Amino acid sequence: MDIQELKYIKKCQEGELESFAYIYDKYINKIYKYIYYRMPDKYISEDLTSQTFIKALKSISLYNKDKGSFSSWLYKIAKNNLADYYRTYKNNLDINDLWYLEDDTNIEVAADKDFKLDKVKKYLNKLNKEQKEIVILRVWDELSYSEISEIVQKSEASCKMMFSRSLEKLKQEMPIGLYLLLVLNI
Amino acid sequence: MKNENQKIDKILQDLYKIDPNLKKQEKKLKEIIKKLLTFKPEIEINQEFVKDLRKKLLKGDNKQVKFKINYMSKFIYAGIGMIVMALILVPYYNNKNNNINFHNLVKNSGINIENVEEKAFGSLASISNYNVGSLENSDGENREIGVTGMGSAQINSSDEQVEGRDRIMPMPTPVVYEYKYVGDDFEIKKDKTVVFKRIKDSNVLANNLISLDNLDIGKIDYAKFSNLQINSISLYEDKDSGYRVSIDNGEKKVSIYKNWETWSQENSLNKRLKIADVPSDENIITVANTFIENYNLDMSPYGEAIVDKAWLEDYQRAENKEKAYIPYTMTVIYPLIMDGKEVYNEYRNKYGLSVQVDFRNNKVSSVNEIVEHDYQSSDYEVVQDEDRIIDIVERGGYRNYNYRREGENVEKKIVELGSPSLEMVRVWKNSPNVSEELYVEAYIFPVLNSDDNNFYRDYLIVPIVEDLVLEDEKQNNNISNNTPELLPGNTSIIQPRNNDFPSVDKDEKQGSGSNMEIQILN
Repeated sequence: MDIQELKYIKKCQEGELESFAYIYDKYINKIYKYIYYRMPDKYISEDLTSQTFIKALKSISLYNKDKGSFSSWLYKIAKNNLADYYRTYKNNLDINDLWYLEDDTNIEVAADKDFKLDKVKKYLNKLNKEQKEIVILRVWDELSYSEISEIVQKSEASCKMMFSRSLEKLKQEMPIGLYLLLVLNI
Repeated sequence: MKNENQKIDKILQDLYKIDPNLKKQEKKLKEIIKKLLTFKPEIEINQEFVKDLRKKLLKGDNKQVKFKINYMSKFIYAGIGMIVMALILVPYYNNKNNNINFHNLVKNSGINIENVEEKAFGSLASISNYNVGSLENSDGENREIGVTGMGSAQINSSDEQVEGRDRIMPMPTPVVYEYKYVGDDFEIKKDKTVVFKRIKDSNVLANNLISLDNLDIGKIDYAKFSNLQINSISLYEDKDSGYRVSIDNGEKKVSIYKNWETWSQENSLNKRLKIADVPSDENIITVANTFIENYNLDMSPYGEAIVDKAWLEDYQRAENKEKAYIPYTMTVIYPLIMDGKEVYNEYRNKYGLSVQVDFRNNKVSSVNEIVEHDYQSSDYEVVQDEDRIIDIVERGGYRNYNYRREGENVEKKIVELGSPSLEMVRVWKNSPNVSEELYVEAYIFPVLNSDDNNFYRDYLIVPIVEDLVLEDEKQNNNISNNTPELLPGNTSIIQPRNNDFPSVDKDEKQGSGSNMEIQILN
C-alpha cells in the first residue's frame, strides 16, 4: 500500500481536512471514469462522483487499512452510489446488469462520440455479469486483482480465474466477435 | 501505443501465472485485450467540476450532520409535557417536587470501556441450551423443530393425505443443506482476543423519580414490598403525531415509538406500494439524521448510516413483483463501532442504533437500541486450529445445530462458502436467569451460491474465542447423538415460506412475519 497515501489518510482521520486534497487529486479521475463507464451521462456521473467523495470524507474515520486497500474502499463507495442510483431511478435495475440492457432500455446515454456502449454490449454480452465486471475492472479501470477482489468480494485467485475464463470464452466466440468487429467497423 | 502494449503485456503476464498454457494462445488473447481496450471510452473530465468539488470538499462545505452529546436532554425539556405511564400512573404521583427528575438518565456520552483482567467474565459458554436444537421442552415433550434450523421444505404430491384431514397439507420433503467451504486457506494469527461485555449495573432511572411511599394503585399495600425499584417507564407526548418513549432500566436501553393514537392513518391503508415508491437511501437517511439531530442523540459510538436492505432480498426472490410486499418503513442502521470495527449481529447484519423511517409520512416512526455504552474488556484465548472453525461453518455456522437426516425423502443442497473476514460480532451468553451481551471477534463467511430461493442466509459466522467454539462443538455433539424422528405427517401443518403476500410492517405489529419461515405446528 502507498505509504504516502496512508500518511495522508491518517492525518484526515485525525481531523486534518487539507490532507484530503492528496486523496482527492489521486482518485478523482479514476472514480469519475469508473462511474462514467457504468453510467454514461456526464451530469449524473459528476453528481455521483461528488457524492462518493463527500461520503468518503465523512466516513474516512471508519477506514481501516487492515481490512483492505483505500482504493477498493473508495471504489466500493462509488459502487454503492451507483447501485442506489440505479435502484431509485432506473426501475430497480442492478448496476451489474448494465451490460445486459436491451436495446430498447431507456437509458440516457450521452452523445459522447467516442463511447461505444452498443458495441461493448454486443461483444461483452457473451460473458455473465460477474465476468464482465471483472474484465472491465481489470482492463478499463486498470485495477489490480487485489483491489478487484475487495470490490467484488471474491478471493484474488477466484478473480484471476474468472478473468482468465472470460478471455477464454471470448476467444471461443472469436469468430462471432471478429464478425461483429468487422461489421461494426471498429 | 507503447503504453497500450505495456498494459496488454502486463495483463497477459498475470494470466500466464494462472495458466502457463495460455501462452500458446498469446496471439488471440492479445487481439481480444486489444479490442477490449479499443472499446474503452475516451473520457475527459470537466476540469471546472474537478476544481469546484475540490474546493467544496476542502472547505468542509459538504452537508454534514453534526451530532451532539446528551441524547436524552430534549426529553428532559419535553418532560413537562409528558405523562408518566407504565408502572405507575401520574394521578397518584405526589412528589414534593412536581417536575420529574431525569438527571440520572443523562450519564455520559460515547463509549466507556473498563479494562479488566484476563478471562474476567468466566467461561463464555452459555449455561443453558438454546432453543435452536433443544429437543425437549421443560416438560420433556418433543418441541417444534426445524430440520436444519435455516432451511426449507418442499411439498410432496398429495397422495399421502389422510382421510378426514383434507385441509391438512402433506408432509414436506425436508431439505438438508450441506455447507462446503471453498474459500482460500486462512490463518489465525493471534492467540488472544479482546472480549467486550456490556455492563448494565447502573441505574438510569432515578430512585426518587416517583414517590413510591404514596402509591395507591390497585389498593395494594406497597409498604409490604421491600426495596422497590423502578424497572421501566413509558412516556408519551400529548400532541398530534407524538412519540412514546420507553425506558428500560434493566437493559439500560431507550426506545422511541410513534404514539399510534395521535398519528393520522390516512396514508396507511389499502395501498400496495411499488418499488418506484421507495425513496433513495440518501433521502431515507436524511429523514433519520434530521430526527437524530433534532433530539440530540449522541452518535459518537456509531459509524456511517446504512439502509437495511433485507426486504429487497425478499422482493427480488418474489416471482410476481406486482404482488411482492414492499414495506413502507425503511430501517436505517448506524453501526456500533467497537475497537475500531463495525459490529454485526449473528446473522451478519450490522448492529447499532436502528431508526425506522416511515417514508409515506416522511417521518421517523421508531428508534431502537439507544443504549448506555458501558463495557468491560477482557482477553480470552483464541482457537488455534482453523479446521475447527471450518468444521463449525460446514455445519451451518455458530449455534446452528444441524439435525443430519439421512435416507429417503431428504433433499440435499450444497451451500458453498467463501473466504472469511474477521469482524466484531455481538453474541449472547445465556444463563438461566440473565442474558449477557458480548462483543467478540468472529469469522464471517460469505455464502457464494445463494440462488436457492429458500436459503436466506448471506453469511455464516464462527467466533474465534476458544470458549465459544468449544461450547458449540459440545452442543452439536449433544444434538447429533439425539437426532429426532420426523414428526408424523398427519399431525403437521406445513406453512411454506412465501414472499408474495403482504404482511404488516414490523413496527406496526410486533411478532408478525411468520411468512418468512417454514413452521411445523402440531
